[in-house]
Amino acid sequence: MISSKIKIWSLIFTGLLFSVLVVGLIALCTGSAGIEIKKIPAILLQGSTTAEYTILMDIRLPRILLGMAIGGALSLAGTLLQGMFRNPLVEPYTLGISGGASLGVCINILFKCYAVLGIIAYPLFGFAGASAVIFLVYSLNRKSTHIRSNRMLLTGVMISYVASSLVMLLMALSHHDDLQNIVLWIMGSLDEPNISLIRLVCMGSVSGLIISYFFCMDLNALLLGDEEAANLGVNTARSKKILFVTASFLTGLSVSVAGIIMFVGLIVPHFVRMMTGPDHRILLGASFLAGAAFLTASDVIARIIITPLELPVGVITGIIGGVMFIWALSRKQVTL
Amino acid sequence: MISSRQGNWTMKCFFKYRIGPSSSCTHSVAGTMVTFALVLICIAYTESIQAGDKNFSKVISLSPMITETIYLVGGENTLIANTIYCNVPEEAKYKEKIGSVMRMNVEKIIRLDPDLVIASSLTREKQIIMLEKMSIPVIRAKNPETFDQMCDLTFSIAQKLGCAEKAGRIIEKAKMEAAAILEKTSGLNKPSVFIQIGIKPLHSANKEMFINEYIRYGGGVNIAEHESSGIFSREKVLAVNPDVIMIATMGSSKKAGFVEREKWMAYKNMKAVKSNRIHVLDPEIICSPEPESFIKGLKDIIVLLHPGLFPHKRGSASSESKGDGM
Repeated sequence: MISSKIKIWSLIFTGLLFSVLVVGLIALCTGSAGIEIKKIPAILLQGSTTAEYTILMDIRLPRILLGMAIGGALSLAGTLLQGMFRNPLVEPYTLGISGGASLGVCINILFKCYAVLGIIAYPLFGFAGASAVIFLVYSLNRKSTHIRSNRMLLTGVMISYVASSLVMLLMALSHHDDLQNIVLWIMGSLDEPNISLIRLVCMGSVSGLIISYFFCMDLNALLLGDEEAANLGVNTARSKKILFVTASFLTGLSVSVAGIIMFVGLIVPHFVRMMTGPDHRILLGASFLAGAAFLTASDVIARIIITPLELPVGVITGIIGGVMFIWALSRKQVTL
Repeated sequence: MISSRQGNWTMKCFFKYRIGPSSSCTHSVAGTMVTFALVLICIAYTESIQAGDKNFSKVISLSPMITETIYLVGGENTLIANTIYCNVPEEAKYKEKIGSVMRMNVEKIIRLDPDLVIASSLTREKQIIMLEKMSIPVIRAKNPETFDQMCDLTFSIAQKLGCAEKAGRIIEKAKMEAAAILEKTSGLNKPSVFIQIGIKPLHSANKEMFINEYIRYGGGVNIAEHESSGIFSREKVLAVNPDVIMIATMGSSKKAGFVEREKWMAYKNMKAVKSNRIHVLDPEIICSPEPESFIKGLKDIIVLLHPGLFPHKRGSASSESKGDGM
């Protein structure tokens, strides 16, 4: 029984890993520059002398890595929050993290902090905004013995609304150049010229995965309910606290670098759960890999569907992910 | 604004050249030699910048405003690509496209191998940095806030494309016409004006937008000039009760302007309604920040603000504002 489970899990895991690699290769070979696939190995071997090499290694590859890291992070954050709150509607942005990040970026733009700190001010302020919301949501719902989950969700939703309203207020008051900057940031994008930032996001999302694996058994126990989990010997307050901070950190990191990319954190965990079942031992890793593959594939479609126009990747994740999800839900008659 | 470094250098050289020989009698020979050497260095430097500027033969424009300016100054042969929104003039449509104003395709730009990219204020900073990292020179053309800035911008772009002479002529002509209009309107009574450039929310032009200059040169007082943002409430327009309302809704057709006009006409007690001075303007002319279309728009507006100056045009102007209707 156990060996067959491990066999299935390793099959799923290998399959997903393979699909991440395939999607990554496809992403490297596709784009509007019109580089022929058969020429790519020769271009890579030639080295950094040609424009094609620059496009492949300096434009496409960093974008693929960022897409994978952010897709994985958002999807993992969604899985953690859905497991922790036992609520299928929760996604990384439900708790107001995206609102907080947007507000941070708006403040940066309006007070021209980017003029002092440079372009790094955008992710810094985004992350500061996201962290402020995390702290607020958490401290408003902390009791000495346990965390009140539903109240936490509601507070998050309300803070999210307040933050969006404040963003709108700042947009209404801003100079038209600032307004354009805010709108551009909110639209979200995987373009990122700063390699160290991409490295940071990659390391951050992998560390998030490692930390959450320490709590996979706790998450499984939490599925039975807080009391049952406590009876099984789980320190629910501590686990929830760490899981909440991990999920928020992953979301804050993604939002601050790539803006708001909707649906990945909601749809991918559900899809993966349909495939693997609710056991977090496989669910966490599978969600991470599926999220990475899904966002990278969506970005490829967004880049090439109406060349030379690049669509915001959120458009593709929303349309394709949403439609596929409704289709899967109606076919399998699954309960979430 | 793009800096006009070359112009400053030329001026400095000119003065050095003039001062040198005229004061040579009082200076030592060594002083004259030093001045002469400086003149030579300056001339050499100026020539190198000019040669550098003339080398920009593969230019990519990232906004319709820049594309229009390039065509205006006659630099279209250097333009290799533009955005999907660059439809004016007609020929600009057929150039290679590199994406939209807000989302350009960096890969495609690198592939086209331009020697200059002219970005707008709507271009993503991250994408500009990516191009700069690939050693592609990028200049940022900010939206002009005044007529003078508009002329400077046109001249700077023209300089980069080696079309400074033609641009100079266009700008000189536009400046002369604008000055003549300003002189004509300066002694007249100034009607208060509300110029509407956006529908939802109601949006006007404050002093940070070049559209304000139409009213300033046209001899009117813009009621939104000193507002901190362009957003303006309908209530406030009713309270200030301007003499003239002009509608040029950015990004929409003239038809949308006539719908707006009907909305204003419902307020029967407004001065502008009573005197039938609500005018719909062509947004393509009014919202285009280049000197020639500015003068064209200004000439249309001055007829509407001071109809007494142009008795023979009065009938045609008011019939246009009423007639085109739906």
